[in-house]
Amino acid sequence: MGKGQIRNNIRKLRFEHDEMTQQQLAEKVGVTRQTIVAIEKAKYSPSLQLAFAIAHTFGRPLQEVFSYEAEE
Amino acid sequence: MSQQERRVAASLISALIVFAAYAIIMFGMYQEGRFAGSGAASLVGKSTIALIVASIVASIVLQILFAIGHAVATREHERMVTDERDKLIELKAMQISYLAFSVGFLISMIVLALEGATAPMVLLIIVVSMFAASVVGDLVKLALYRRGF
Repeated sequence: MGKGQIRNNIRKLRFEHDEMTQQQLAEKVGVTRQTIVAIEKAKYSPSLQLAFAIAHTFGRPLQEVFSYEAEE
Repeated sequence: MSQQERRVAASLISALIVFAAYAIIMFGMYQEGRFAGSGAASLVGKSTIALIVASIVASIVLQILFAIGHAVATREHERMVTDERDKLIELKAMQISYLAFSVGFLISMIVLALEGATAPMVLLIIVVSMFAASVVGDLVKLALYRRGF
């Protein structure tokens, strides 16, 4: 399986939700702020459980928060 | 520096301090000729147990000092959270640490296979491998935390 890139709209969604801080999001989904930073920068791909938890926090379906780009 | 990075830094610093003290003490014993007699293997065993205990105590003390220092400097209390990324970083570091120890163990067996190598010498190589593996593991953790993953 080729390595693809998982992109996300977390930063945009945080600002749309009353400028939610990374720390607030981290506390809501039960991870550290550094993990949210790593996910936002696309340096770390979260587990399905965490991805769903983040999407649930924003009240959006998963595909509106995360997208997958296959490598050519 | 995040809480996790501070924890790893404390572990790394304590390992370096304790091992430096261990190396100085062992070198002193070597110069006194205490590794020449029949009780040399027992001496290495006792000193290794002392090294492990001292490492654990030093690591705990340093982590407490780091936490107090951070609380005093920032005036905030941090909740201890371990998440999936921490566990993955821990696993990756453990994997590389295990590999480093395996190399050290292999070197000790090669030394043992050579004529003239004594059992205490081989045991000391294994102890040094344990220390090196621990340091490599901590460095990998620090690098992964700095990089994101």
